[in-house]
Amino acid sequence: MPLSSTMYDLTASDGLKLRYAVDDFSDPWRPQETLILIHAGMGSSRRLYKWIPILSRHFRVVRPDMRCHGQTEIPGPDQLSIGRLAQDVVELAEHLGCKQFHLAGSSAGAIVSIQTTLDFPRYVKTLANFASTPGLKNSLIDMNKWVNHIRAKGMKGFLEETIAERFPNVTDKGFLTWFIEESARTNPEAFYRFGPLMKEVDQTDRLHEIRCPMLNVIPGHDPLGAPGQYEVYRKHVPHCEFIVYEGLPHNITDSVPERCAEDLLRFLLKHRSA
Amino acid sequence: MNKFKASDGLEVAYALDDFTDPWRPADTVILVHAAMGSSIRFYAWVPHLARDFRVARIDMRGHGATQVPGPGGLTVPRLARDVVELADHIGAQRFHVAGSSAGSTVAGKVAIDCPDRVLSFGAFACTGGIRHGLQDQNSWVRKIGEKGLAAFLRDTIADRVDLNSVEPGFVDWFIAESGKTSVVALERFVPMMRQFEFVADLHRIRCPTLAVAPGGDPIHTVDHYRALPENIPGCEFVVYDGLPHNITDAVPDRCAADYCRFLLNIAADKRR
Repeated sequence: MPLSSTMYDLTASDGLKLRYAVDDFSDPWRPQETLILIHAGMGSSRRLYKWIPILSRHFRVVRPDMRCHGQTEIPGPDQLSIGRLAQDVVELAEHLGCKQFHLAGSSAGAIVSIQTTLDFPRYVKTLANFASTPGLKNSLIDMNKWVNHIRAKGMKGFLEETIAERFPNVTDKGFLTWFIEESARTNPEAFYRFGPLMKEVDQTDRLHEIRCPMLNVIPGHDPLGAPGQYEVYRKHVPHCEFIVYEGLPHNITDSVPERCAEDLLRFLLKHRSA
Repeated sequence: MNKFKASDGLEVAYALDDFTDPWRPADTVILVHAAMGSSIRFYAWVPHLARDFRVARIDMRGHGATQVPGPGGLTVPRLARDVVELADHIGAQRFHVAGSSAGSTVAGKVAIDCPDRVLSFGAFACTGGIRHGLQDQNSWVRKIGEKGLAAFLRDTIADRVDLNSVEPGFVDWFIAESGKTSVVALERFVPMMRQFEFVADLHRIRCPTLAVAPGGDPIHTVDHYRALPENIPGCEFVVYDGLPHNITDAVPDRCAADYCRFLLNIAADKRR
């Protein structure tokens, strides 16, 4: 199995064991800057592997596995909330001795990143949102339909039957097979809790609190979010950069990962410490 | 760092970085560092290479996290064998091998000894043997013994990097990192490398070869470096004008970009 990054352990303040990868090929004599990348729902740190060569020459890149995902433990009944997911990000930063960091997330990972910025503003130097509305409450996702579909067909069956919606323009069968197998590792019982949790979140009313520079990279043809729902960032976030990938559906961080990482790098280099 | 046990029982350390697509076969590249170095000194190369290749970086015997061998355990053939045994350990039947300075001598020895295993040879600051250089490396050992490794490196840093172009902070880091090398091991390693010469065997290298030479090196002339293109059929030869010996540290991104281009051209040729 390729993908080489070593996974490390951290015990969160509520006792749950979290796992994360660190890749850092930045010059050791320069002040170290940390970038934390949060994967999408049904994903893991592994799904962001293509981003690392582009970013890790400039930044220490940290990729946690969110609760319910990857190698991180599945939380107990009282251990899963949007606030707790955000707290994990900050506890990971503290664990790494990092008082401030750049933060970027994909889809549900972006919702967690936004929540982290809202709840712990002094930690976050810059925020990047790939393909997420501020919570899924107003999105077009019918989470009950997803959950019922997974219950009926299993995680792999659900992914196989919906893969064409996610990647209508992708013809690389190897990638599609890998994406399905990788995402199907997600524990369905955990997703039955994680997905509906995201569907309850609406951060719109707090977006004006985001004071750090924010990059928003939005799929231009997303069946999961109406275009107007992405516009709220431009309306409410004071330091907001907004890029639309015309014609692409929701999973831009997987379908055009290098393009995403290049745009993120350009944004980060513009805003990194002098 | 990962470790494996060499066939003589010594524990050899290596790093492995791989961001290639998991569903495609990927060639392996093995990088061999310079004397007084370690796998860490190739850190800047990894992002350039690891999206397309599985990148293994070995710590040579007596360097980095690899143990210092006992008597008889430090020869160029043994160092070359470690590279092949690393390839075996990580399941690479065939592989690209590249090295910096003394590491390129080891890499070249691998290419000579194992033509059926080596896909290509990357030679950075590689001559056919260091004894014909402009400096007596045995005098380095004496100076290191007298002053300590860090002081020796600071005194001779201008031979290694262009102080006008490297970033502030680089020199201190380079000396601190190189200064971790075991002096006891170096006292054996340097004279051993000085004894070794392989100009006469270079013609046996038949794989694609890229030789990159520093053009302003106080340790070796460009003519010394020309031994590779003059003896290896089809060798691509690139000179970095004006730069002292340690090109792989001072301009790592340039080296890695040139090397990646060379490797991708081989891959493209294979597909044609």
